[in-house]
This record gives sequence, C-alpha cells and structure tokens, in this order.
Amino acid sequence: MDRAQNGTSERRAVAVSELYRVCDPTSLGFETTRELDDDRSVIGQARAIEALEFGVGMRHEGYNLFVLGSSGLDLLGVVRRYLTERGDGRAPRYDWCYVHNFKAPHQPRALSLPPSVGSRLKKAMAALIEELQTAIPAAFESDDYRTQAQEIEDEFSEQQRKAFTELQERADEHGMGLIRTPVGFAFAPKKGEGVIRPEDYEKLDDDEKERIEAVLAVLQKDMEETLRKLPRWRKESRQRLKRIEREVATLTLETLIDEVRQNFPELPAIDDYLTSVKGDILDNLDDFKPQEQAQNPFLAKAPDNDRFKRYEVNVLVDQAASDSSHVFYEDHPAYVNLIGRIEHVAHFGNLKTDFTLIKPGALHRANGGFLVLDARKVLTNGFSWEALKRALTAGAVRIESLGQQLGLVSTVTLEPEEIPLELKVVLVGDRMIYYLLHQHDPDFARLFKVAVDFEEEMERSRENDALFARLVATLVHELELRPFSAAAVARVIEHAARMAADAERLSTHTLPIADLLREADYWAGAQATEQVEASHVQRALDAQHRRLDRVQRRMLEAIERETVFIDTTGERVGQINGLAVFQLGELMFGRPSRITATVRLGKGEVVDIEREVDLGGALHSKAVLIISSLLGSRYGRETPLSFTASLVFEQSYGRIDGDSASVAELVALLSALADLPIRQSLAVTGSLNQRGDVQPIGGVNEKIEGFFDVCRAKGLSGGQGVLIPEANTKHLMLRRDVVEAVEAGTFAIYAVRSLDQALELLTGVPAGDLDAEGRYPAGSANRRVADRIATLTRRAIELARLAKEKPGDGEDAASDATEAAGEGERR
Amino acid sequence: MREDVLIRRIVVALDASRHSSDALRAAIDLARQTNAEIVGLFIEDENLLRLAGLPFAREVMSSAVQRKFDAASVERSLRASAAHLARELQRAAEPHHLRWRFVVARGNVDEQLLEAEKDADLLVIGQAGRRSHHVIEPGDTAVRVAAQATKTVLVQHPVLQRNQTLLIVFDGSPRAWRALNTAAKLRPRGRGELVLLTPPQEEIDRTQLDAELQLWCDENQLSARRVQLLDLDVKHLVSLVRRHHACGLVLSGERSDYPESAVRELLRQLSCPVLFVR
Repeated sequence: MDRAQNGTSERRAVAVSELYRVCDPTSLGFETTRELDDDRSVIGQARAIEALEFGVGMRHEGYNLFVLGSSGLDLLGVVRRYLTERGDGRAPRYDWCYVHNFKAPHQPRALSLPPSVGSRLKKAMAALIEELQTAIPAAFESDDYRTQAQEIEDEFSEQQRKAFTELQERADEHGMGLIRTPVGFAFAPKKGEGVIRPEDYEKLDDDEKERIEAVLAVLQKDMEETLRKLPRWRKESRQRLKRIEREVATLTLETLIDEVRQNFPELPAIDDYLTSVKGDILDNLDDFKPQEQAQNPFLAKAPDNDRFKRYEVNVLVDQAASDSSHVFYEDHPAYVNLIGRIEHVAHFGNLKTDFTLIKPGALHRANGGFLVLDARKVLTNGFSWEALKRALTAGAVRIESLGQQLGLVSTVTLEPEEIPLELKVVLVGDRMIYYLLHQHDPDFARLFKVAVDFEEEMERSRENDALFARLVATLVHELELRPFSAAAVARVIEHAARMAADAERLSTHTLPIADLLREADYWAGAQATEQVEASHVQRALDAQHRRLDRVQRRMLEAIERETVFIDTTGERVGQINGLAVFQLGELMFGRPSRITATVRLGKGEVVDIEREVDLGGALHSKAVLIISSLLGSRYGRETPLSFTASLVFEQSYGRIDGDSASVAELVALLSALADLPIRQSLAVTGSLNQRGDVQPIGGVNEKIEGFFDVCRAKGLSGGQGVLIPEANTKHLMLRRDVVEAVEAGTFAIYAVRSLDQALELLTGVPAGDLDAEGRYPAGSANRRVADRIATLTRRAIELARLAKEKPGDGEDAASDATEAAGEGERR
Repeated sequence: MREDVLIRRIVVALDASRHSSDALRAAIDLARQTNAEIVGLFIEDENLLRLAGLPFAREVMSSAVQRKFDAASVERSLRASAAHLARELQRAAEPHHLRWRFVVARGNVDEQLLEAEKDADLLVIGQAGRRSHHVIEPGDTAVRVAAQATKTVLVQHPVLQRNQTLLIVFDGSPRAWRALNTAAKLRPRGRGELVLLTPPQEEIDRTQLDAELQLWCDENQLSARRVQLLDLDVKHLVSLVRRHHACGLVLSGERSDYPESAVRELLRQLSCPVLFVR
C-alpha cells in the first residue's frame, strides 16, 4: 500500500535470485554418492512414522492401520520395509493344519502347532499309514490270529453243520429226505435213494399218509427255527472275529502310534488327534486288509487309493517353509486369495472335496504378523472388503465359498473349523479412499483406528538437503546405478523442489525420483561416462518432457501460426493475457489465454459467458461473483452500477475452472470501462478477494514458462513478462532458459500484492488511492473508471426520465437503466 | 515225461446258482486255453419234480418262511432256468469263437453228472453248498462227483485268490506227470510259479526227479520248484495251500485215493479251486 500511497505504479520485478533456488553441490559435503553409506530411514515423515510406531505397538482390537498418501510416495515399499526391519511379528506364529474330524467328517479340525511341527506331523502320519498297511495285514497273517479266526470259522461252520445234520438224521429216522430247492429246503418221504414218486405215495394207506404229513409238518417247523438261528450265529461269529481283529491290531497300532506320539511331546492337540486316529483305524481295519480284485476287469472299481486320505495332514500354514517374514503382502486380494478356498476334484463326472483340498488365504499366511494390502485392490475385488472386515471383527477366519456365504449352494460341503486371527492389517491407499470409507462405512473407523498420513513434501533446509542426498545415494546403490556426482545430486534436489512446486520444499515422492535416477544413469551410459553428472539429470528431465509434450507443442504452434490469437506486443483495451494450466497424464504445462471484457449500459451485473454456456466451473463462477462484489464496493458505494459487463475466455472450447484468472478478468473489465489499453506483452495470473488483494495460485512455474515459450516463439522484445501473486514468489523454481532470459533482461517476472499494483503495471497508469473526500486522483486509472461509471449512471437516469416522458418510446431499451437508476434514487 | 494231454470237450454243470456262474467262467477260460468244445449241462432234478407232485409239498425258504411247492411252478421255473442258462453260455462262448452246446437232462443230479463226465475230457462243477459269512460248505453233489468221477474234474471255488501260485501234488509217477501236464495245458504261460509237493516216499529218486523236472520246465517255459511234503493228509495239504496263498491245488490219483469224506474235508477247508486229474 505504501507504493500506492506514493502514487507511483511501481513495478515489482522479482530478483533473478528468487526465480530458482539453487542447491549448492559443495554444501552437500561429498564428491560422488560412492562416498555415502546406505541409509534407508524414511525422511521427512516424522508424523507418519510416529503413527506407524503407535499402530504397530498397540495390541488392542481395531488398531489396524490405514496408510494414506499419493502413489508416488512408494507407500507400499516404505511400509513393508519399516515392518520388516522392525523385527518380530505382533504375536507368536504357529503352523496351522487341517485334519479329518472323525466325529463330524464335514467339519475338519484345525490344529495349531509350533513352527515346523506341522510338516513333521504330516510326514509322521504318512509314514505311520504306510507302515500300518503292511503291519496290520502282517498281524492278520500271524499264526495266532489265523488260528483264532479259523477256530471261529470252524465253530460257526460246525454249528450249522450240526443243526442241518440233526435235521437230516431226524428226517432219516422217519424215512424222510432233506432236499435243496432253488430257494430253500424241503422234506419228502423217501423210497430207495430218491423221493417217493407221487403215484407210489397215492398207493399208501391213509394212516401212513397222515403220519408222513404230521412228521413233515414238525420237520418243516424245525427247519424254520434252524434257519432263523443262522443270522444270529453269523452275527455272533462276525462280532467275535471283529473283537479278535481289534485285539490283534491294537498291539501293532499302539506301538506304532506311540512312536509318533513320542516325537511330539507336550502337544495335547496331537495327542488328542492320535487317539482319535487310533479309534478310527480300529473301527475300519478292513481298509488295511488286502483288497480283493474283481473278476471282471470291466466292472472293476477304481482302486480305492483315497481310503487312507482321512489320516493325512493338510499343512495350511508352514512357518518352516515360509520365508520367515512376518510381513505378508497380497498383491491380488480376491476373496479366495484373502480368505482361502476349498478346492474340488472331478471324480467320475462329480466334484468332490475333502479337508486336504482346503487352501490357505493371505489371512492365514499372515497370521501372527502383518498383512499389507492395497486398499483400492481390496475394494475393487468383489466381496473382499466385507470378508476382511468380517474376519477382523470376529477375530477369526472361516473358509466359506461364495456360494455358501450367499446361500446359493445347499449341497453338503466342508465347514472347516475357524482359525483364530492374531494379526494387524495394514491398508495402503489414496487419501480419497480413506476419507470416503470413513464417511460411508460405519465399520471402517472401528476397525482401522490408526491413520498413517504421509507428507507429500518436506521443508527444504541444509539438513534436509543432506538427508535427501543420502536418500539419492541409497537409491543409486540399491538400483545398482553409476555413482552420481554432487552436482547431479544437487540437480535432483532442485527437481524435487520443482516437483513440490515450492522453492522452500522438497517432494517426498521417491518413485519418480528413482525413475529420474535410472534415466539419468541411462544417459550417462549413452555417453559412456563412469559417473552421472548434472547434465545427465537435465537430459533425463528434458527427455521425459519431450516424450510427453506433443499436445503442448501443438498448442504453441497454434499460437505461433496465429490460429489461436495471443498478442505479445502492443496494447489493447479490454483484452488481457490470462494464464491457464493443463495436466495431461504426467505432464503439467501452462498456456496463455486471451480474456476479453466488454461493457454496456445495464443494471450492474457481470456476465460470465463461460458460466452461461455451462463451460465454467463453480470456482470460476465464484471468482466472477467476487469480481462483481469488488467492483460494487470500489466504484458503486454511492451510486448504483448502471452497466453490464461480459467476460469471456476467447477460443476456449472446453471447461474452465479455478479462480486464478480473477486479476486478469477484473483488469480487462476495468480497462474496458476506463478505455485504458492493456500491455499485451504481459500476462497475469492471480486470484482476488473482495478487498482487492491478490492471492496465490497453483502452477505458477508452468504458467510463467507457458507465456515465456509463446513470447520466445513470437520474438522476445525485452518488455515481456508475467505478473504473479507476491505470495507465489517462494514457489518459483523456473526453467533455466526462463531464468537466463530474465538475467539477460529480455523477460521479467513481477510480483503483485494488490489489484492496483497489477492495474498500474498492465496499463502503465497510476491506479490512484481514494482521498479524504472519497474521490480518486485525477488522471488515475481508478478515477477514469469511476468517471466512466458515473457517466453511464447519468445516461441511465436520463434514459429513464425520457422513458417516463414518452411512454412507449424507447421503453424496452431503457427499462434496465430505469430500474437501476430508480434503485439509486431510492437509496 | 512229456505227454500230450488232449482236452477236446469240457462239460460244465450249470444251475441257477452263483457257483454255477463261477464254474461257467472258469470253463470258458479253460476252453479258450485248450480250444475245446464247451458243453453246458443243465439237470432237472427228478427229486424236485417228484416232490412237487406230492399233495403236501412245501418248501422252507432261506428266509425261514414256508410256501407251497407245486409241480407247475417247478416245471415253469426249470424251463426258465434252462433258457436263461443257455443264453448265458451263448453270451460267454461266442465272443471267443468257442464251439458250444447246451444240454438239458432230467434225473438224479449225481448220476447224470457222472454219466456226462464219461464223454468229457474235463468236468467243471461249482462248489455248491450253503454259504455263510466265512465258510462255504461243499455241496453233496460236488463232493460225490469229485470222489467218484473217472475223468478229470475241476471244482471251482467262488473266492478268487490274488496269488498265482499253483500247488501240485507230485510223486513222479506217470499219473503225477499227467497231472503236471494237464495243469500246464490248462494254465496260461507266465502265470506265477508251480510248487510241486512231493510226498515222503522213500522210493522216490529225488535227484533224478529234479533233473527231469528241470528239463520239463525248460520245455514248457514254466518255472517250478519242489517242496517236500511231510505228510499226505488233508490237514497238512490245507495248511500248505494256505501258507502259499495258492490259487489252486492239483491232485492226481485213482478214485480210491480220495474217499468222499476226505474230499469233503478238503473242499470244506480250502478257499481255492481243486483239480482232480484222472
């Protein structure tokens, strides 16, 4: 304000030293990165690391972590490295096995065992079953068993024979024979060796016939009773044989099972399991006997190799086989990869499964440690998010197929026992995902209580430059690149500041930095140098830009060839060079845009043509309303504004948004009002508040470079330059050619704090401050504006009066002015 | 001691029982091996027919339920059985291009079988009898025919042995050589080994016997070994068969060598087919 009060349209050219903050290679304290040791500590993220420390240390439920930040930060890498280096997992880690549940076969039992015991148990059980397949048949081959079995067989056989022999003898006593019929037995009176012929029977006297029939009735009754006894005898015999078999097998079995048991002392789960295995084997001894082969090979059953499957051990999680890391990252968190699955095999056209086909998910593998997941992938894989929340809420993981879970499958399938979970889930994702989940998912805040918010940038200081250099050196070593000279590292640090769009900050995005290092190394290799120099870094940056700048070049060409109209010399009323910034993929660039304003008699409104055609965003509309308000407060405090102004971005065919063109728009409007020409050699960017202060904007470097490119293409005249908000001066990290042009005096950057400063610079006329009487000095830009507004107001009043005197004549033309003037009079 | 054993006709006794199916299967295998004609013999038991003609005839079924036993149903049942068995024989024989005949006889079963075997080189019968859980009782017919037949008889056992070892009682006599040659004729090449059980007779020159056997094995491309029998009684034979898990036992000798009681005991205790070579 001092300058304004002095009444001078003082230029505020930014000093060359402020255009680009150089990193002095000598200040880094080394010649090349070869001299530096690796240091993988995370820099500039003290708050995030504190949060990580806290989240990892908290042992209570729900303290899972959500790591927020943009993708360039290499969040996954940082988090995984941090967790890995931190040492132990959060809980003791176990082997998890599924074994057959002999009481409820469809509900496999889960066994929790110390590390490496799972695979040992699996081997021990396989060896046990193999041994039993020879040991049990061998036991049945023993003379003891054979003798006892033979005795039972003989006894049963004898029992039958005796019963039938008795019947036969009794029949013989009465002259009857026992005959086998196709389905049973019959008695008949004998004559000689055979049955009596019917004609001979007829010749017998009645008493004899009566006797025969009576005897036959008794014999038949006896036969019935004998046949009834047979099943019972058979059953008793079978049961006795089973008992003998159990006794014989028990000795062999106990010896072998005890050997297994001794290998796993003080493990009650295995002890209990082996007891149930023993019981089941004794109940199914027939499985261990040699299988008879069918006579017809075409009707033969497939070899029943599955009959011992139920004694197998499915080692779901084998700590011995894993890489002993307690940090597990699942790259594809689909439902089955997270929760685990039950596979099926085709068997004669049917699908069947058993507990050996249960496969683990990431939750099983990470149990006892940390499970790192990409939040976006979890959310975009159907059902994964809900399944993850369910497991965390229940503190256990239950393997269910999606069909089961959704109630679509009602066939009998496995219901494996659930496995308790003792792990931390670390979700890594964008801030937007975090905030959306927080807002829309009521479970999220309960389950992910620790937000680890990574900084996108850090303060640029001598110490931090040194830390950054150390990070560069570590990356160079890790990526096995040529050593970087101190100058090359300094150039990388300067680029990090440019990435942060702030001379006083450094970007913490290590992924693009790593890319830059690789590419600089490539260019050094192309020149066959041993060391990467600053020129190679610059070459890499230029090449990156060139690979992406097709659209930017087309736009510049259009201006150069005057297809798009941009003046960089001369003066025009109501026309100004605004600056827009474009983001296409990774490339961000600026481009001037012509803004024009027109003024006509009206009722005091500013028409934003972009908004009228629905091409202006909300922020732009807001900025135009602020301009309206600022106009009113400056020039319409006493009288109404009796004009209508229109603002347009010329040759703009897409949506525009943002408020960074406010200064340009208002200066163009004031120029149109005051009929003051604007210097076309200047472009301006900056937003305004209602008090006329110029506020900072984004993309200041790109905007300046965009106008510089146009000026250079059209010819640098020496008077060209860009007006930027003073608050943006600290963000300047301009391209070398721009800085050189400023140094040479062919281009200039001006920092402005107020609308008046901008007005003065752009019109070359002092803006002028209000005096005690509320008037602007004569000849000042503001006075010319105020005078023009007063003229318009008077004209409006005059038109209103004429309209009243001659009703119907010029009514339409003057109606707006009448309304505006009427309001003024009332006030 | 090579002797060409000719088997041109195999008679197989058929009825509606499972044992009969076992016998038919065995007979078909043997006929393929020897290219013999196969004759299926179905005997309508005259005792059954007589019984059916008696006014009070009843049978007690295996389910311990009585029912009337009449002539018409027996005749019907026999006719149906005959037709069914003829079809079975045809189905079994024709795929192997075997010559076959189906014969129906009526009379006493034992007599008819003994009559039929006179025209046959080999009679195959099932070991019919009551079947319990573990024990298969040999039928009277099987025992009687095996004991009394003048020609070679195979009593087929329903339990199939996995092992391929065949046991042959062999004393070096011409009869024993005939049994060995018959076994070699009936047995496909390369099927397990032959174990020759030599009785404890002092007059046998074992060295010479072994030399002859070696020659025989070479000629027939078979592998055989000799085992000394301690005793020739049924109990000892049965224990040897069990110990070797043999798939069959071959016996040679006159009718008088095997009384019915011994045959019954042998068949009762063994779980494999027995070939009586005569």
